[in-house]
Amino acid sequence: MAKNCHNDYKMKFSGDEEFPDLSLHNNHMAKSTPSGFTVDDVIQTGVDNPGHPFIMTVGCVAGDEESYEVFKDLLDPIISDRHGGYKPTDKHKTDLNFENLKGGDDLDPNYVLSSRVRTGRSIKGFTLPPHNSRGERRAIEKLSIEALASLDGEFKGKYYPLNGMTDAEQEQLITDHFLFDKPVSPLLTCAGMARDWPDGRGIWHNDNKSFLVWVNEEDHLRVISMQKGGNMKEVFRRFCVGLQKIEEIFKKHNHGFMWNEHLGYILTCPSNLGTGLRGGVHVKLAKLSTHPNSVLGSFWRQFCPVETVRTMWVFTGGGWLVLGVSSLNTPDCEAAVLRQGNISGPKEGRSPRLCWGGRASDSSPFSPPGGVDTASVGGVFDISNADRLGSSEVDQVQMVVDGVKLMVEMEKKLEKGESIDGMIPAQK
Amino acid sequence: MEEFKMASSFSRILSSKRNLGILSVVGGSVTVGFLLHREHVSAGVPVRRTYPASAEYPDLRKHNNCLASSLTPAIYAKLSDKATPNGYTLDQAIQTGVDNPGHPFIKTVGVVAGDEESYEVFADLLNPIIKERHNGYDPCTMKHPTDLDSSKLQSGHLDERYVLSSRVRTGRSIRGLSLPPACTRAERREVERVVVDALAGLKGDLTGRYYSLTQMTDAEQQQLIDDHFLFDKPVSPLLTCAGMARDWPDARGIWHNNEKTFLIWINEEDHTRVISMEKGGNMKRVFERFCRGLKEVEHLIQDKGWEFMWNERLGYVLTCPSNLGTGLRAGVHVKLPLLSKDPRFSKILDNLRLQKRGTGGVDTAAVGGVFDISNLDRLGHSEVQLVQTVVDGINYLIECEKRLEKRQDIKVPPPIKQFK
Repeated sequence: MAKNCHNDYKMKFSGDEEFPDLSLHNNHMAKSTPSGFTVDDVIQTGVDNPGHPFIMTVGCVAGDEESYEVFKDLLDPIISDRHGGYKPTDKHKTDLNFENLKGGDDLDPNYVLSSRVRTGRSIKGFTLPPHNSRGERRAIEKLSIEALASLDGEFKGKYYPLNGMTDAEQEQLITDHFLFDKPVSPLLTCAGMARDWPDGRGIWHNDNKSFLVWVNEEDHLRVISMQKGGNMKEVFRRFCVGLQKIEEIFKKHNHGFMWNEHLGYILTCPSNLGTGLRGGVHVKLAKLSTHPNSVLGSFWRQFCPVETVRTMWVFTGGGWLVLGVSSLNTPDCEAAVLRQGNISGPKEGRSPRLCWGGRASDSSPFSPPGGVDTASVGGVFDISNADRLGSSEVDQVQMVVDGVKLMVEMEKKLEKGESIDGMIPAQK
Repeated sequence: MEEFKMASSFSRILSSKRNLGILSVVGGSVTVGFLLHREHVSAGVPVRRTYPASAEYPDLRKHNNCLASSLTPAIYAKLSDKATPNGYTLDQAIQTGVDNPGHPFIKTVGVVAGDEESYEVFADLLNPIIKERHNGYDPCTMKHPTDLDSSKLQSGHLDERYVLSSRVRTGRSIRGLSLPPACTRAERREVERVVVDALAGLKGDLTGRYYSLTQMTDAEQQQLIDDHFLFDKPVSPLLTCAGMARDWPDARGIWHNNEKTFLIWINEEDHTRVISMEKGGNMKRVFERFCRGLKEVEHLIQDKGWEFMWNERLGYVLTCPSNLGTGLRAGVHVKLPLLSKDPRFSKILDNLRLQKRGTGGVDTAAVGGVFDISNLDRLGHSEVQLVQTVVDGINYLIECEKRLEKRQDIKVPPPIKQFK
């Protein structure tokens, strides 16, 4: 047919021509990890999802443990930006000794409706959800089922594969708010985490329904401890004990968890490095959330486009901490609620570190799986820690416990018509 | 152990098209240096677990698509470790079919091609799928006729009391560049450049302009919406799971002539979609412009050393196997309020080798008795034959409608012969 057909050779493109419209370093050590994950794979979700002017998503994922090493030129600055200036030379402290938590068993259950701690774990030797094949995912599932089946006592439980549960089981899991859905957020789907759904996915929970493990959703494992009321101490105890039991079993199978002393626990999204821990409560703060002097009202009206989501800063003595608050509400919450976010705030040129919780798929007694009229009546908020990396599990849960305690006291004062101006601690 | 790791990661680099450019840069010492610095990975931990095909075989028991019908474990095992020269694999080709189980009433295809070579490398899977989807057309033994001579079309003026608009569309792929499921940003930009360059050479009634999705003004965007020309980022999981919406809207755009009768989409589901349309029933003129425009564009790209993907087995090569052959959908918006309520409507359409859609296109509903009616077939018949089928079929449907208006009875026509 025609001459000069370009079928004889494939076009060779320089790094410049492949350059997406982002600022990236060009001095990568190598273009792929040993398992074949490339920088283009890392960034695809960030290229496809430009983000929101007010909410800074991460835009990168790891395909395997090595991604954090091979693409450190790209990921270290992102980690620093996301985790409050964490340096490549910093060391992360892991502390899962629940006895180090002070208090936490006395949060007023009239205000604190439920308590929950979650984290993620990745299993060494396997690639991560954006990259793994069906074979790998099934092997992870098989290993997880074996490990969880050997738990006993308060941790005795059962596994429900997404692809094999009966209608009755599915109904029950929905009623318990345990069932997680195929991810719909393009942040996750563009990263390839929903491939082959629901193959290799499932939910395990103990008979008491207070300890729950998700297999092969956004991470290899998501581990959740929860209960109604304000006894965060007990929730954290069960969390630590359960996690350590599970880790022992995986180690015996020669597949410990991915961890190193710089990044802590390795997870798919750089925002979850370190502890991967989100500890939070559902708490009634109707008065506090509308208090005219709280930064909440004015800041949020200024920045948040979605009315169902609110934010608040609280500063506790003992360290700089900003807690994020989101209103538990409709599925709109899910749409606006992406992940932990950094918003450029108005105060002193500093970025307040806000955190949204309450994804509709997060298990909790209050997130409606698509329902509209639960929660949010009377200003119920999901408050959790914003930090993940650079402080330990105990530190982070302590911050939540102290912060919530203070906020409940403020709420009580406001109910009595008293002022709280003296109670707002100074930000460090 | 170190040499083994080095060799295996080296060969991975070699086989990956994207890294061809850096082969010259990655020398032995650099690779070794890189490996020695991976202190977080202990020796002895496998870098990626590989599994036999039986462990990777997808679970298609609840699926209703062509993939599920044709992908036996044996075929999967045979093809799962193969890749096209670009590095496109079977797992990539079938991902959309695995992720989308389909619908009990609608059998989707479930496989896409990442490049022209996919149809060769994965022929053991794609040939039976092509045969099923295209009514028995056997790519191993049959040849596809291409005929873009619009003068052969007869009776191409349809009754405008019933036919509101006429349209012919197809797709074309640029040989040498990967298809939308697999293309890199650079390749996609190259497709855009090649096509936009060629279109700038069109003259006369085909003179027109390009609107890049990333750069159009708000006013231009509104105009394109009002003209019903603007295409959106695909939302259908059939497309997104195949990776066709990556990097949106980079290198996507719309070109149309000043008269708004000849339109080209760039880098949507295919490299190009070419559309000729106008209000009314003059299918003859629509088809004439279609053929002329296509041939003009083809000459213009050939002048620069490019060509369309085509072969005599499969005709024009496009992303979805359902669009092989002519890639042609010729259709009209036609008012058939009485006939559409007749219980024999579906059977009549079937026998005429036509399909109905709502006026919003695929997966929409009909409004006010107005239907989008077009050819079912794509492969094994030429463009002229298919458009003739539509013309003859629409004329027949209008006759039925007229008879029903006069309360006369209608007849179901005999089925048009197929290859089976």
